[in-house]
Amino acid sequence: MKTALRLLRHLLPPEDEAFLEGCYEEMYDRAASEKGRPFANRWIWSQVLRSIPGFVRHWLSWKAAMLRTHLVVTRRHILRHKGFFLIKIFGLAAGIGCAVVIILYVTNELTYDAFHLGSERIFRIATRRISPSGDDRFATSPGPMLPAIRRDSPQVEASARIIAPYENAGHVLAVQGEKRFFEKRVWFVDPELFDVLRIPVLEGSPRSALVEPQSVIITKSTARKYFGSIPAVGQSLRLELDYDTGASVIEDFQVRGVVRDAPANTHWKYDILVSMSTLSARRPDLDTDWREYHTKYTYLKLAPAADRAALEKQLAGYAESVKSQATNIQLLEFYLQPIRSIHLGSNINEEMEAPGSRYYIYVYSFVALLILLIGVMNYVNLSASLSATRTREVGVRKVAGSRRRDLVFQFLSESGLITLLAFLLSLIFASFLLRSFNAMAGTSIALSEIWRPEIWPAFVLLFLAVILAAGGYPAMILSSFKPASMLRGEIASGRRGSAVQRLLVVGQFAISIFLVVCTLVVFRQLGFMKGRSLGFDREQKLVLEIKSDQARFRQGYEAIKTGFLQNSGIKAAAVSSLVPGVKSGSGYYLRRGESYSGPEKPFRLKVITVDQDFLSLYGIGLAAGRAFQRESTGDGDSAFIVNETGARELGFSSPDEALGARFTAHYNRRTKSIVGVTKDFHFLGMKESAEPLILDIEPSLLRYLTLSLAPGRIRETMAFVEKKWGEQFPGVPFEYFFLDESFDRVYRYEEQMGKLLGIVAGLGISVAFLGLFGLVAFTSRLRRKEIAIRKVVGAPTSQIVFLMSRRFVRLIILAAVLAVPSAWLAANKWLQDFAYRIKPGIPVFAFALAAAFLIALAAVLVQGIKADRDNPADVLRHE
Amino acid sequence: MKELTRKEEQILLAIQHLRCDAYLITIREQIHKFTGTYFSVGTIFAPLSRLEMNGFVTSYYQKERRFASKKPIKFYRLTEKGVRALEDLRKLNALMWRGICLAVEE
Repeated sequence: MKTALRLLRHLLPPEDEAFLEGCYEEMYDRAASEKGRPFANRWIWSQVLRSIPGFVRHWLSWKAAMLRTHLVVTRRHILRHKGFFLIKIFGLAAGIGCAVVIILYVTNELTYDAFHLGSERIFRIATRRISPSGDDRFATSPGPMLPAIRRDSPQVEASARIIAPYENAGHVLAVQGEKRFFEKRVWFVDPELFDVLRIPVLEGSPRSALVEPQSVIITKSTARKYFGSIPAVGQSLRLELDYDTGASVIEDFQVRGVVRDAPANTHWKYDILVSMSTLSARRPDLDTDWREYHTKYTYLKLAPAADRAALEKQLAGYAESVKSQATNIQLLEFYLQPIRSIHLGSNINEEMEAPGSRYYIYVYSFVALLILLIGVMNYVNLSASLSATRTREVGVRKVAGSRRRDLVFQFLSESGLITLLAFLLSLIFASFLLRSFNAMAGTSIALSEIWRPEIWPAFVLLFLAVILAAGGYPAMILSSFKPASMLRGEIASGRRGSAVQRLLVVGQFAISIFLVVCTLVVFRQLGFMKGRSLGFDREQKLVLEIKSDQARFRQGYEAIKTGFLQNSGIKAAAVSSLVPGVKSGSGYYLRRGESYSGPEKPFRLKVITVDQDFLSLYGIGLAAGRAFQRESTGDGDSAFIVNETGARELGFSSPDEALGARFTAHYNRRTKSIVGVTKDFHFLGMKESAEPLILDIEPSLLRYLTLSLAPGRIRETMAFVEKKWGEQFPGVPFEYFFLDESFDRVYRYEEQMGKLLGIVAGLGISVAFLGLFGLVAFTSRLRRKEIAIRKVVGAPTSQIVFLMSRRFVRLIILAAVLAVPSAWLAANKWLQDFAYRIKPGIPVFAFALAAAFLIALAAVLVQGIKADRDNPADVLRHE
Repeated sequence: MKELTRKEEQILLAIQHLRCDAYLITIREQIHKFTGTYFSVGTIFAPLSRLEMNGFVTSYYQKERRFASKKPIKFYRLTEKGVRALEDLRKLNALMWRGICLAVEE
């Protein structure tokens, strides 16, 4: 009853509040005494409920009326100060746009795999193995794991495997009529996968579609790509798949279902799902071979009340039995990874996609916050400066009876309107920004994701925060003006007001200096990396990747090379397993001596398999010994070449010492001797230090053909290459790239980051300039009379400008003191990731500080001269 | 002059009946006695405020008469204008009723 009355009090007209409340109390008491307390309670609550609609209507109509007049005033104000308004709104839009993009990004990262039904019960089985070659974790698990779990674990609700095609994973040739593409995301899957993960099916029955061999389910966009508007179900698609049987085969597959495209926030992305029976028909050992676990992923969904510990014990049992059969495995462990923690929490071998990182979430959020802060500061500063022009308006309002909170409401609704406009504008901005952001962060976020309802609270929060942050301070100072002094035309020169503005200017300049330093460091580091010798020659090199029918290429590459060399425009040709700019994980385990055995830890070197022409084509220099020789045909069977780092890794103190040493590779159990040591070369750019490398003439891993072109006549040569490709690889799409261009992508991330930082820094500086400009305008207006009197007394222009600038120099110095150490720390933290890095030296900081000072000086000078130009007679006329 | 509504008329009559004891709750009770229905507080208070605004009634407080919770009671009484309005209304009604036979004509 008390609450009801308290509520009623808010609903009652204020002038008769006490009386009416008394009435209600009395009526309540009467009702209680006549008909009992429960009835009275019911009655009073019904009174409350019934009065709400009227109250709301009343309140809204008055608020709306006020809002309308506020909007009219806002419009007039905007039209009077168009330039300032545009700056304000663009600053806000830029900040909000960045924030929107980052909200989308962060939501995307944090909701990875959350959309699967019961995602907290879904796990992936990963493998940990300690053997003489090291302690390794893999995202994969053996093929027989699945039947074993299904047999032994009743608490597993559903389980399924996802298996990547073996060697041609990432580039499966798909053919439909004239359409031929390499498909990146092709997987073999068990039909039960649809019970484990959430894969919305558009056509076909998920359970039956993937039972038969040679059947596939494709995503909607894949269906559109190959079949256009024809219904895909029932059509056939030719796929070239590799079953790890030595050669890939191209066969027909029936499309038996269409699913929705994989969302951006899943670690397993797919375009074509091939039935597991296709694979198991060719690999009967799939369900029995416990030792082979590469490219095989096992997922399972526990029953709601399942005992996870029991399952883990069972997994340990499997691991024990596998370990007992194998020699030299010291530890084998199968463990469960919750599916939601894979993206940000798991970074082990054979991840399906490059995992995300919390570090980047923080970095991006920080940068977005800076931009948002810049935009908001800009708004506050300009509004505060402009507030001087609105004193009369506020004065009149106050005299007419406006309460302070009415004025605050007015200015907040004004900033609400501007924020709303900025929000709309920011969406346009965000759609552009997303493109470069996606390129930089390697994500595929679409702007349409703003419609996801789980993001809305963040947007509402952002919106309110911006309104309050941007509009709060101007509303406070504007509403605090004293009407009497305002109407006399005086400007409230409260020290508080300009203190906040000074603080803002310090903040803006600190952020600007920070950003300029970061930008300069990024670009200097880029220039430094690009300027260093990579140790190989990448000019005029055309690279063809053999993605299809590699077996034929590996056997007959000499003949193919000869075919290409017929044209005089092609100077040289070489084949290799790797070209510059491509990441690869292949490596050799090596042991000293004639056989691969022994108790000691084997050496582990990354391998590039090559032919005899590789070193000369890439112009890689030798530190000792000789290159592979074509004449001594024995090289293929008897010679290794290592790089300097590789020689050190193998335990030799100088390159010469390594010559003649004999090693046996685990890969093919061949024993070869080192005939040469190359100088170090950087196939992945200068971000990382040179890895220990071994070069071997071994056809089994070859997949690139590099052609060195003669300068000039590139067009004719290209026509020839295309024609020759058609002869050599009929039916395979002609895809090529020039090494110098593709290699630049090694630094793509740094370049994008540099550009982004550059834009942000430019934005920050211009906003800082505007902010200071506004502040100086504000203070010079306050000191108009002082300046006029000084002029009358005979102060020269220089003295007046000096007078104006003295205070602001202090602000900039304060900003520099704040910015320099933090920028130094941030730059050093970023540079840690680079093997070869610059030191963020004095020139970088000097430049940033000089830029800040110049810009500040410009703002102060312009205003100082303007103040000096005023005719003292006009200013002092009214005294 | 704007004519009084039915509800306003009832309220004015109730006040006049109650004399110096007319406030929101008693007015409501009084109308209940006449008509047999309880109107909600709002349906009484809104026309009552309107009447006060238009000068048909005026309100006063009495120091010694308060609610149990010590909150002031707002009493109403008719102004001259209110009395005249009621008088006019009665005259008008009498005029209109004169010679009327309340039977349904076949």
